[in-house]
Amino acid sequence: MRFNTWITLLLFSFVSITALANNEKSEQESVIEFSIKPLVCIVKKPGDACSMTATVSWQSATVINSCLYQGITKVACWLNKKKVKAVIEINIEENMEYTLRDDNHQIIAQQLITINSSLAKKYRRRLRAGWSLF
Amino acid sequence: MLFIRSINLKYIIFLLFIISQSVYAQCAPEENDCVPVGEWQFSIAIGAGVITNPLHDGDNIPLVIVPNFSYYGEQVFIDNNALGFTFYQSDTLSLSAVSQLNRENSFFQRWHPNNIFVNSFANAAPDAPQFDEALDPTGDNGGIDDEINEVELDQVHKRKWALDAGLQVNWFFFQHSHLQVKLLHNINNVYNGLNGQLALEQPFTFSAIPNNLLTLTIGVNWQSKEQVDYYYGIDEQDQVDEELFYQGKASISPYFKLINQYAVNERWSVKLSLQREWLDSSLTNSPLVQDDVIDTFFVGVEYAF
Repeated sequence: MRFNTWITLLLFSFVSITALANNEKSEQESVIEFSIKPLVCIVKKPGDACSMTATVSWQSATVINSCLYQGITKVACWLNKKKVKAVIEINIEENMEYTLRDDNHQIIAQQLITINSSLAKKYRRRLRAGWSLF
Repeated sequence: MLFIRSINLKYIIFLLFIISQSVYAQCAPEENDCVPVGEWQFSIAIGAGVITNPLHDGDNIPLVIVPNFSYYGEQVFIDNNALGFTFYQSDTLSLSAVSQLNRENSFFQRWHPNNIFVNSFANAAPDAPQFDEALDPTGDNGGIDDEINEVELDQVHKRKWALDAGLQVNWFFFQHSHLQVKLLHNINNVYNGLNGQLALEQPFTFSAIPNNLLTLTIGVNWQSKEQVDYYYGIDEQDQVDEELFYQGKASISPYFKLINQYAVNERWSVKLSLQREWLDSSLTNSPLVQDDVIDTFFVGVEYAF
């Protein structure tokens, strides 16, 4: 009986700690306000590389260490900050995911930057009947 | 009178301007006849093939390396030997002004491979022209007189390349069916006549062979009296007996074309092309013409750049 009580208490503690940890994690994620502006990079024609200056800002409920990644490349890091507003240079050739990661490399916020062309590719019908020399 | 003409001209220009402002029609990029606007398309086919020459002593046109290029702007286009300006286009209809090189003179050229690809080793000399026969077409050399009712290429004066211009209508309907009507007039003062083409094209795809496209075309080529007479007529300018003089009449020649293209990958494809044109009697009656059909055959691989 005494043994069963200990087992019950141990299981209860484990479940509670796990639930608490998950709750803290989701709370940490939910309090992060993260944005990169502008979200869209405009290029002249499809396939062109994009270069622009963007403003990154994030705000957390608690002081955290974090790094900003462009894909898998580290762009900037901040130590013991609750709030950041920084200017970064963006050079991308395709749509790119920017992520904010904590000390454990866990993603705590993310934002997709897309490339749009001002001249969308147009198509038209070829006006020739078949393949021929004349 | 001049005033009325001036008004008419202004009206026509205004009408063309209104028409050319019509909605720009796009097409689905995955469709076979759909090309990106403002980009050059270039491909080269390498294989074996021929366009038969219907003329007596005419050289068949060898098809070994066949380039294929096009550029389509929003209105201007270049498609192999044709230059055009599309002044109206909708989802199903295009009206264009076009200019292109006339085909007919290609049969009057010497297309022996030695004249195209220089062979520096052996057999580089072109076939010796048969001037003896040319100067004596009536067969006074003791031949059989009544069999000679033909005229060979070397006996007639040199024909010129003609440049034509006119209107082209393309109608896309049903399931990728394509009807093309073209009416052209000679613009470089060679034969001063008209020619036209009507072609109905239908592509077919098969679910069992997803990368294959089969395109069948039936059509007719129409040549005005002036065009037939210039190329296939025979008169005092030619070095032949008066009995062989021939005056051309307008012709209508139907044709059938099959093109099968199997895409190996994005750039490489295997291509087969077969075509037969049945020549009108106004062409085959000419002493210059030996065959009553023009056949085109090509099989090879194509690389798209």
